[in-house]
This record gives sequence, C-alpha cells and structure tokens, in this order.
Amino acid sequence: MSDVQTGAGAASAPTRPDTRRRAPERTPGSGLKPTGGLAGLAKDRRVVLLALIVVAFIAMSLISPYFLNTANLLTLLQYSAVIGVLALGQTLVILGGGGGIDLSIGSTLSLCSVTFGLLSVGGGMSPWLAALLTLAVGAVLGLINGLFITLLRLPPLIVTLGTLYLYASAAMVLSNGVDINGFDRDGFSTIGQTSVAGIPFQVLLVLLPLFIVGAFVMHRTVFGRQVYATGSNADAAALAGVNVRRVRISLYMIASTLAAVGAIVTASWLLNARPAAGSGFELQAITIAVLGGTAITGGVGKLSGTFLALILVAILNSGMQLAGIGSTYQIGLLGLVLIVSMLVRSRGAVRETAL
Amino acid sequence: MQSTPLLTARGLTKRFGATKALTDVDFDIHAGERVAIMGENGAGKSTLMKLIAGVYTPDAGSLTLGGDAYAPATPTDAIRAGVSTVYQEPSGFSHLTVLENLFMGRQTTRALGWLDKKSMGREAGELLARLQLPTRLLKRRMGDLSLADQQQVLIARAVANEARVLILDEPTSILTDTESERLFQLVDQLSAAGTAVCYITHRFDELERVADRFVVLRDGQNSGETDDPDREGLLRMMGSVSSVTVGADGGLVAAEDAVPSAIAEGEGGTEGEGGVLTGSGVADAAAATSAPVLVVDALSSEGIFRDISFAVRPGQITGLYGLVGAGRSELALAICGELPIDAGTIAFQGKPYRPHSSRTALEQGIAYLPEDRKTQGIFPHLSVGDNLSAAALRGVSRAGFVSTAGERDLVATWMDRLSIKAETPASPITSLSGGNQQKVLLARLMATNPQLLILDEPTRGIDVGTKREIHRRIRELAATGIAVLLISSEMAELLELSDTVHVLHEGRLTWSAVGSEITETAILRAATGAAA
Repeated sequence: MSDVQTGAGAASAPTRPDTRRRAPERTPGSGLKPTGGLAGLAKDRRVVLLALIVVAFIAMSLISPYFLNTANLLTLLQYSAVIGVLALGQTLVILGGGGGIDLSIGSTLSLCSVTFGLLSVGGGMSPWLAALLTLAVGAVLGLINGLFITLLRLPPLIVTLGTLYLYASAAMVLSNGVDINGFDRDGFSTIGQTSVAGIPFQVLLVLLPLFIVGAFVMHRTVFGRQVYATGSNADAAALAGVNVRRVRISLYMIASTLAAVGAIVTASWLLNARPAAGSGFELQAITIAVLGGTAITGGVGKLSGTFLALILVAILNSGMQLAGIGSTYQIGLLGLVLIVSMLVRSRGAVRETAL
Repeated sequence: MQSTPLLTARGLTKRFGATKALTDVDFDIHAGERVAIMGENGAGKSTLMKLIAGVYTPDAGSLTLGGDAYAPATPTDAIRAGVSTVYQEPSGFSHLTVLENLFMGRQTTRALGWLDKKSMGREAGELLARLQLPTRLLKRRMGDLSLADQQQVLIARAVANEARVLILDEPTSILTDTESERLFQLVDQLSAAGTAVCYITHRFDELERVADRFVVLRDGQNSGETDDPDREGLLRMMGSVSSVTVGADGGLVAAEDAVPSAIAEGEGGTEGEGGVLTGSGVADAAAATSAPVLVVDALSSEGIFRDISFAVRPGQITGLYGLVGAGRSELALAICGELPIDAGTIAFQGKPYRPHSSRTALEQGIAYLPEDRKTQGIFPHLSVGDNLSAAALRGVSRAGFVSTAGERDLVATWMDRLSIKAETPASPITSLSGGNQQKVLLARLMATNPQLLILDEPTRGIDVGTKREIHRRIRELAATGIAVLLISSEMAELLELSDTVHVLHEGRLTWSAVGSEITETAILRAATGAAA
C-alpha cells in the first residue's frame, strides 16, 4: 500500500514544478531564458497551432494533389464557417469562468433552423425579417440558459445539458421531425450562396467579421475586460464593481445568438432547414475552443487562438477526406490532437498554478 | 547549544533558473529547540524550509537528521523520516472528518482492508487529549472547523506521524491574538517533549514567545543568528533598515520616517514622512470636528452583527478591531452592499445611502480592499496593468470603448505614485511580490477616486519593509482628505495608524476611543468581551 502512495502522490506533484514555477516569478520578463527560447514560445498556444497548421498543410498537399486546389481550400473554409461561429461563442462562454460551458448550442442551432424555416417558408416572410426574428429567438434561448445558471446558481454543465435535450426536442416537435424545404432560391441564395471575389459569403461577411469584431470587443471594450476579470476571479471582479451575473448572462446570449447566425447561414446555403441541423456541433465547438488555448476554467484564452484551431481542424478533416481516410479515423485523430495539445499546455501554464 | 544537533544543513544551495534562491546556507537545530527563521520576503526562508521538507532538492549541500545522512526526495520521504510541515494556509482534506485527516495515509486496517475505526478513534482520542485539544472535534468535518482548529489538527497529525522536526510556516498570519496564544502553548508542549520547531514569521511581537534562537537570512545567505530578540539588531541583520527607533508603543518606526515621539504617541500619527506637519494639534482638531463622511446608525445584519453605530471622518484613520468571527469584515461588506442589511441606516456624505453591490458603492465613492488578496483581490491570469485598471475602466472609456492611451496613463500614474515594482505593466500580476500585489490593489481602488477607503487587513503576509511603506501610504492618503476605515487584527498596526478605534465583539460594538485613550489593554479587554 505504502509504496504505491509514495510514487504516485509525491513524486509527480511537488518536486518537478520547482524550476518552472519559480523561474518566471523571480525573473519577470526574462522568464523565457531559463527554459530556452523554443519552450518559451511553445507556451503561446497560437505559435504551436501555427506550426501545426504549416505541418498539416504541407503533409496534406503531399498526400493529395487535390488539396492545394483553390476550390478545395474555399470549400474547406465554407464548411468551417458555421462551426467557427459556434466555436467563437463557446470560447466566450468558457472565458467567463465559473465552469462556463454551453452544451446546448448545437440544439439551439437546430431549433433556430426550424424557426427560420417555419417563418420564411411556412409564414412567407421576407428572408431578412425571418433572419432577424430567428436571431431574437436565439438570444432568448441563451437568456434561459443564463438565468438558470446565474440566478438559480445551477451548474452550467447540467443546465445546458438539459437545454440540449429541451431545444432539440422542441425543434423536432415544431417541424414534425421532417426537413423544411421550399426556400425561395432567389431570396436566400444571397445569404448562403453568393461569393465576393471567389470568397464565399459566409466566410467574408460572417466568419471573418465576427472574429475581428469579437477580438476587438474582448480587448478594447469595458465589457471584454470584464469578461476576462470575471473568468479569472469572479469574487474579485464583483468587488471591483463588475456585475458578474450580467456579464455571464450576456455571454450565454451571445453564444446562442451566434448559433442562430449559424442556423441562418446553413439553411440559406443548403436551402433546407433540418430539425437536427446542429446535432453534435456543441462538442466540436468546445474542442476547437479548448484546442485554441482557452482554459476550461476560464480567464485565459484568445479568439485568435480559436480561429487558428478552426483552420487546423478544417485542414485535417479535409485533407484526410481527400486522402481517402474515413471519418471514423478523422474523429480519432482530432481527439488525439486535442489531448496532445493539452500536454503542451500542462508543461507551461498549468504548473504555475499548481501550488 | 552543546549537544549534537538533531538536524544539520551544510552549504545548501538552490537555483531556480537564473536566480539563486539560496547560496551556501548552514542551519542547525537541536531536539526540543525552537528556532525562528527570519528575513525579508525573498530572503530564502521558505526555500530553506522546503529543502528540509523534501519539497525541493538542493543543487548543492547536504543534510543530516539524527546524525544520519538525510536526503528527502519528496515530502513523503521527509514525513517518514520525521520532518513534518504545517503551511500558512491549512491544507487538510476539508470534506473528511478530523479523524480521517489524522490517519490519512496510515489508516489502521483489519482483515481484507476493513478500516479499524474503533482503534483509530481510541488512538486519536488519546493523541488529542495528550495535546490538550478537545476530543469532540474528531467526528467533525475538517472544513467546518475554524482555521485555527484546522491548523491544530494538522499539527496533531504531524505529532501522530512522529515528527522530530516540525516546520511552521507563518502559522499565526491567519490567527487572531487569542488563537495564536493557543498555538504557542501547543508549540511549547511539543518542544518540551523534544520536538525541534522551525518557525517562519514576519511578526516581531511574537518572537520572544515562540523562539529561543533567531536565524536570519538575507538575499539567500546566512546573515547571522542570535539568542537576543532585540528588534533593532534583528532588523539590521535582515538588512531592512540601516538604523531603527522603536516606538513607545512597541511599533517600529524606521529612522527616515520617524515622527517626533510625542506626536507618535499622542496622535497615532496622521502625518506622513516629513510632510504636512502643520502642528499636530491644529490638523487633528480640524479633522476631528469636520463633518463625517460616513455615519453608520444602529446597523444590523441577522445573525452576524447587531446595532452598530459609528462615524468615519475625512482625513482620519478609523481603526476597527475584533477577533475572528467578531463581524469586522462582514460589517465592511455590508457597507459595500455585498451583505444584506436588516436594520439601521447608513449616511454617506450627508445623504442616506443604501448600497446594492460593490459597483454602486464604488460609483458613490466607497472603495473596499478585501481581506484575502488571493481569493478576493487579484485576477491571477491578468497583467499588472489590467489588474490595476479593472475598477476604473469607465473613467478612461467612451461608450464602452477603452482608450488605450487613457488606460496607459492611468496605470503609469498609479504605478509611479505607489512605486509599484514591476518590470512592465504587461508583466503578470503573479510575478510580483505579495507587497507589490497589494499596492496594485490599493492603486485599483485609488484610481476610482474614493471618498472612503475601507482597508481590510492591508498588510497581512507582507514583509516588514513593504509593510512600513504601505503604512506610510495609508497616512499619506488620509492626509489628502480621504476617510480611511482600517480593519486590522494586528495590534501594532492598529495602534500606530488609528486616530480613532472601534472594537467589535461577537457582532456588537463594545468600545470606542480616540487618540491617547487608545491602549492595547483596553482594546484586548473589549475584543474579548471583558469590558462592559
């Protein structure tokens, strides 16, 4: 009994971290020196991701001659737009701390798809008005999550797991479980199918602007700073005058509104609203957010990291598809990449908070 | 001492990256001896203790224990060999009972691994009785005990592990004076039984009480040792000050910011170093009669405090004393709107004031420096600059957009004004010493231009040099006309800074005094409920 305990309990935790923990503390600013330049750079997740993207890019172009084809690269981005928008929202929710996570955004996307379909196909509304109302529905679904989590102090994981089922079920009920077709091609193709200078609409006018605006908000507005403060230490944030509840409710609303954006883009692109359109997207979004360097405990992470993780995942998926590697292997590789990326992290940031 | 030491360290050296934390340090301790390890923050006290406790392994040098070579690779090795450590913050298993905590890792079992609760209970009961600790604690959950009780349980666990050397790392920093005394008695008992006790402390008041010998480190090296608890000599060894005068009240005043002793004694010192000495009588009289900025009238919060009335005047430092559980911090939180008020009124700047949250309190001009820097103060993942500007962002932003230049100026101004020592504003807050972190938090509040500053234990766990500097800053801030409400469990600090002192006992205000009426004995009597 005792031998096992010595080995596991003591050796791993306190003895190893000493050099890593103290070095940055004692020599602020020159913290990179003791561990060497490469190790220091590797602490910024974005550098690691960029390197992985380059490696994956080269590997995929070698594996498949079709990979470097412009059309393929654009399709790659086009497929990533929706999941990217969801990952953006997920990143924000996780950043806000307090165990923040939104498992319901996939179902939110499904429910918003159905809403959008019913309003525009069934209700005959103009696409733009239907889109606006769908965004509002998305916001309300997030508000429900936020209120349960902040006012009733329920754990985000459980609340959004509950609404994952609730919203998915509502989407099925409203649509009778069948796809809504019959979108007016002229009205909707503007949103889903046009491209500017060869770059698809959903990338140029949805994905990129949202990430740019998002990054600006996070770093240059009072709200963005409050999100980081709340995620880093909610008690301290409250004492520093931050309305922690309002910040967190806003984050859930932003995430679900972005899911509504995803719904509108998908429906307009495929001219079809499926009651299970977003099924499984929530886990992909979490994967990309965490892969991008967002600490699951909140307060640490950047949207640029999420964006790079999105590109990496897109390259891997598309490349493997072209190389004829089935999706059964693809998801396995994604899981592996996620865990390995965590190893890089735990050698850096996590150690510093270990004691 | 004459006999062979129980534990010896020779030439201990420890590097962390480019920094030498410890260079060629020697250390001895005999059985039954009580040794205080002293030094400024960063002098190497904790590193030395962690080498002895097996948390770190030395780069050079050697240890012996009981005459044999001793080279612990892990804390478990150290505990097995008889070296136990109790850290500043109790680190037990808060969800388990005291009994389970005492036997963690060495449970008594019967056949098939069944826990033998009966025999463990008997053994633990005998242990607590021997240490004169209440045996009724055994079945309680660790997390439900007071910090003081948890600490004593952990010491008992060290005894149960047959510790020959017990290391206590700033054990009294979380205790009130009466709780500290209980701890000292326990330590006396252990040392009488032959345990060697190494004691890290920043508190001069307790030195004579807790140690027979004082070992001073400075910049990671042996600086000297002595049996004489003379503060001046020790401070000189620590390199804290070049020359020192000891105030009549026992508080320490460095020569460069000493005030004439008559003033220091009489007024508790509203004057900063060499500044604003407009004749103490005049300045003080003016401050004492000016309209109070905060008037608390018959304030109650169900089950926490009751019927509390007092006033805080601009330019004055109003001290608030009480033992843990007396309701000091809770009173402050209620004034900030973070704790519900059930009865009574508060007037702020002459107007009725009903706070809803820290946000409304800050907007009105009431700023609160929380008691626990780590859990309530800093944002550990953010930079010095972001930590500093957090509460004042609205002031440097337009329509929700933060002005980069405005924020930079704000941060630079306050880092300069409070001489915060950080490489750059972008350095992580965790790279700063505790004292500098505290100054960042003080700057965060000051940047909101408060009229009333509530400081809850502003110098807890901070080294002597920085502590004195923070005291000077507090006096300076008060001199600019800000009202300061100072909550402190450190008597010397309270006596040195306060113009007026209020004492809480079990949620009631039991005693108030101004100027020369403030005495240590009177405060202690009131705080323990002895005064009517």
